[in-house]
Amino acid sequence: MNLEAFTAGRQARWAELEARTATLTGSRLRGLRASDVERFAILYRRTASDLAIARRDFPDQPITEYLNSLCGRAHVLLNRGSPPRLRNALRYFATGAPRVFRANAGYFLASLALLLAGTLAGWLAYDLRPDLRGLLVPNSLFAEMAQGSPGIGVPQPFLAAPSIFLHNIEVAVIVFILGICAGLPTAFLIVVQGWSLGTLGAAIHAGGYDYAFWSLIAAHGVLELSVIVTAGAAGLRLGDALLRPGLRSRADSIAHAGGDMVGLAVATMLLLVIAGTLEAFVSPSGMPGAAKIAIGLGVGACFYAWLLLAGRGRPAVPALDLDAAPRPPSTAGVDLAALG
Amino acid sequence: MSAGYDTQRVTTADNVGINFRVAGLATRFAAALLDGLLLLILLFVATVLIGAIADALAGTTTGNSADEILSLAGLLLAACLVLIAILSFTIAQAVSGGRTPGKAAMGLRVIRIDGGTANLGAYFLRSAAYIPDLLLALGPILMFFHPQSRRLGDLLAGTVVVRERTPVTLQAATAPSPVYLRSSDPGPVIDGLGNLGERELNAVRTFLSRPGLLPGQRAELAGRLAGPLLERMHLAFGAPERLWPPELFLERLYLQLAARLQPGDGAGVLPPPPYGGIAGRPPWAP
Repeated sequence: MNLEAFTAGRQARWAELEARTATLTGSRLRGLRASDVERFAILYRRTASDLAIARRDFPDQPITEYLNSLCGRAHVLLNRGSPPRLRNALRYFATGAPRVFRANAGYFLASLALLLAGTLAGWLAYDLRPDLRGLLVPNSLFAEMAQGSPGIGVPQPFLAAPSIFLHNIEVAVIVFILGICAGLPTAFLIVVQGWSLGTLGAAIHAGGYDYAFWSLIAAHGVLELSVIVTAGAAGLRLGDALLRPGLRSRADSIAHAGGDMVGLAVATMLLLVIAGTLEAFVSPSGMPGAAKIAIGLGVGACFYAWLLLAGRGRPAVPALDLDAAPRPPSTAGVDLAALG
Repeated sequence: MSAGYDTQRVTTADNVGINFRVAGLATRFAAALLDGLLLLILLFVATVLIGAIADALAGTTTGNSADEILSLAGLLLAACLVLIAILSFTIAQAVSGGRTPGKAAMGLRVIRIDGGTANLGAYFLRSAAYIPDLLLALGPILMFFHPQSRRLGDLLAGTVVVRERTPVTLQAATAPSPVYLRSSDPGPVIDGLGNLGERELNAVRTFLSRPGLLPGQRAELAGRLAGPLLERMHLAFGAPERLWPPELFLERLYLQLAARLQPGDGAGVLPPPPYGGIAGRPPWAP
């Protein structure tokens, strides 16, 4: 077969595929009729087999380059997951994220251990080096303790809430994504979180305001720290995927880890909205301390109940009926003969 | 999956290989610059908006709490700028199927390494990874050394950025190759053309469209092609066509056969090229 004969019978098909590709260049196939999608798929597959022939018979001709490019554009459009839907996101939230969390529980424990180690180190540093106390804790704290009211007065909770949760989400994103640098920045940031909690706690303890302080931060702190630790766990997983890829290549390994952890990280980050709202409205309010602690523990219990218990049941899979007659693929509206 | 530098090899379900052309560092940088300019406008609007709100709120109170409002607004702004950057890149890619305005302008698209369209999670990872890629300057270094010019965000999300534009159009690729003739005179009518068809016409056209043959080679090939054609035409033994030089015979045969089989299709016939029929090659060249 020479080039003219090869192109003559197929040219119309290629032109049609190119026209359809151009109209679909946006993001979605939605809005197309089923028959349109099927026709697109058939055109794509025939053109792909034309590409195979062209690559064998006319490797250096422009037609091969053209078909390669056309098939590439059609391939990208045709091979895609389902579009983002609220229902899928909710289902992931209800079952997917907890499953991922449990599968990576080791990283969570490691992240939690880093936080506790930082806290302990901060506490010890405050206790063992009295000469450095002025550097470890903001000086305003001592002034507030002298006045008898350690803590933050929040003047504008409606401004404070978004400020707080957006800032915390930013921190969580950074803690998560920097895990790709072998997990070191993530580990450092988690330890720093623990360190500031530890030094603060020790200073408050020395001042004798334990109950006032812990009841002040309990309402939002439990959830907030848990989410940061979870983001840290996701970040540590990325770093571990880079350091110990196992049988995969490193590129495959981190891509796998990234796809696994991004959902969990984002799902938990969204909960920082709740934590930030509590921090702005509940923590500074005149509510009794016991109630704030109860709220904090309750929210924390919900968080861990969600991560540890949700999605444990097996997903229902419809039984496969092997004896049923195979259903031929629908060709409604597709003129197979016209494709030649 | 990958085949050498600057291509991403993808195999379809029917086991046909597609070579995507990977975008290089410079094109990617230009696209990022365009996107960055658009982002700058967005961030400017956000800054002005938050500043105005904080100002209005601070005006309603006095003294200490006004200061606190302004410091809260600063916190809000710092967080907003990073998050707006990440979110806007994520959304721009998700809405356009991997073509942010800058990428679309440069003819680029983000695809999964298996050739499909990436999903929302992958777009978020790519966008969030601008933090290590840009702030720690890991991206440009990695792209410089990576055979497919992938930055950290690409590695994390399992994506690669490819060029979608191609210099070849369908028309250019399927246009018949030009035919080189020394003369456009079809000569006296040849008998027996009815015995020849498209196949023979294609063979003659393929021969006549080769510009790079040396004169000796061309004459020899013409002789070998003319022989079987004369047989198929069942010409009389003493027909004058048998005495024409084979090259002249083929040229006249082509003109007459093309006029007969494809009337009105005179495209692709070039005037005789210089240097005795060999395009672009002087007679003294080896």
